[in-house]
Amino acid sequence: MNEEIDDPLADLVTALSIEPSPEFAVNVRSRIERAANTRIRWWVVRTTALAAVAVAAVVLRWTMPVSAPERPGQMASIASTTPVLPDALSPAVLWAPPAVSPPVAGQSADHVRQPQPVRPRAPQPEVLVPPGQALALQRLALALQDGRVTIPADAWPTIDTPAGDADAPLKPIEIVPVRLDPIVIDPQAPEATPDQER
Amino acid sequence: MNEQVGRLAGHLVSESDDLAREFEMRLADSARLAVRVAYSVVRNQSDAEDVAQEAFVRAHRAFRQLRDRHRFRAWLVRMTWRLALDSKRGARRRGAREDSVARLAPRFGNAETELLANDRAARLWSAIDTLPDKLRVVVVLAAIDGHGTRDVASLLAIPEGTVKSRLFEARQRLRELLQ
Repeated sequence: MNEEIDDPLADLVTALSIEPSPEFAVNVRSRIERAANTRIRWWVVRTTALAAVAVAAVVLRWTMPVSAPERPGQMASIASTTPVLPDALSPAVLWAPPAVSPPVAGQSADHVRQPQPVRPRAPQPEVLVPPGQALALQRLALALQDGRVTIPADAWPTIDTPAGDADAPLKPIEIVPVRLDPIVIDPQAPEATPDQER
Repeated sequence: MNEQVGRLAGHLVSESDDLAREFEMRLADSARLAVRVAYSVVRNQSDAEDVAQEAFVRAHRAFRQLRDRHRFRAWLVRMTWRLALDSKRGARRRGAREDSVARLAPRFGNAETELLANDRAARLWSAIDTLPDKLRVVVVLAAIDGHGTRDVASLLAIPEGTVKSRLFEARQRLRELLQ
């Protein structure tokens, strides 16, 4: 009988009877060392990269101006010191003229800049206007104050007031009483059923 | 405070020394096992050593959990087997370069004996290659270092009865294939 077929394991034992080379252990040690060095290098690179990113983020945060992003629907609240124009969207807002008096043609800008007596003003409504429009209005107000822009006197809007004496005492309103005729009930009339009423 | 730090540093150094010493012992003890297991798959001495070295490098990384000798050898066998299979797949892709070293007779025999031995080796390896993985690893481990069924069971972390039945089945199949 064939020896090979009798016990294939015996052949396998012979086939696997190889020995590691003498430098096997040395190679393992050097590979371990290389792997450790690579790990350390990666750790250093990763840590450095993280630190650089963190520093860059801090520097950017300090150097970049902080500004709120302008959104189309965003509205700015303007204090009542700003001249307020009548707005189609807010008809209840009244026109409030600026604190400066309109320069008359022929007068110098210095005349306009002379200090005016401060008068207490009545509180004016706070109006919401888009930021761009608010900026334009503020610039216009400054230009008017500096005399860079002149508006003819007849161009200022006027508020129509009712004719007559505004200081006259108000007349009491007369209320006419409403008179209702009494309801007459006819006993001869047939009683209405709920269905008929409908 | 300084005393505590000194004691802690000394403890760490001594533990590290102990680990290094133990690893050296395992390396000397299990190098042959790893190389043979790898060789049973890749059939090339140089590739087998490469695979076994890689397995030892990985074992070193996880050595704190593998200080127990039996645990270490079992882990090493499984890791080497897996790495060897990966290496063989890679080698197949690059173009097979299996060794003609798998001889069953000494190389310094006459040419006729060597030829016959090579032929037998080729038939044996091709028969072993047809076995399923779970039978193949049992046969290979049983053929290395005179491992008994208990040793194989310990290395593969499976019951001894399972090893016996798998070994029996593997032998039967090999006999059939080599007829």
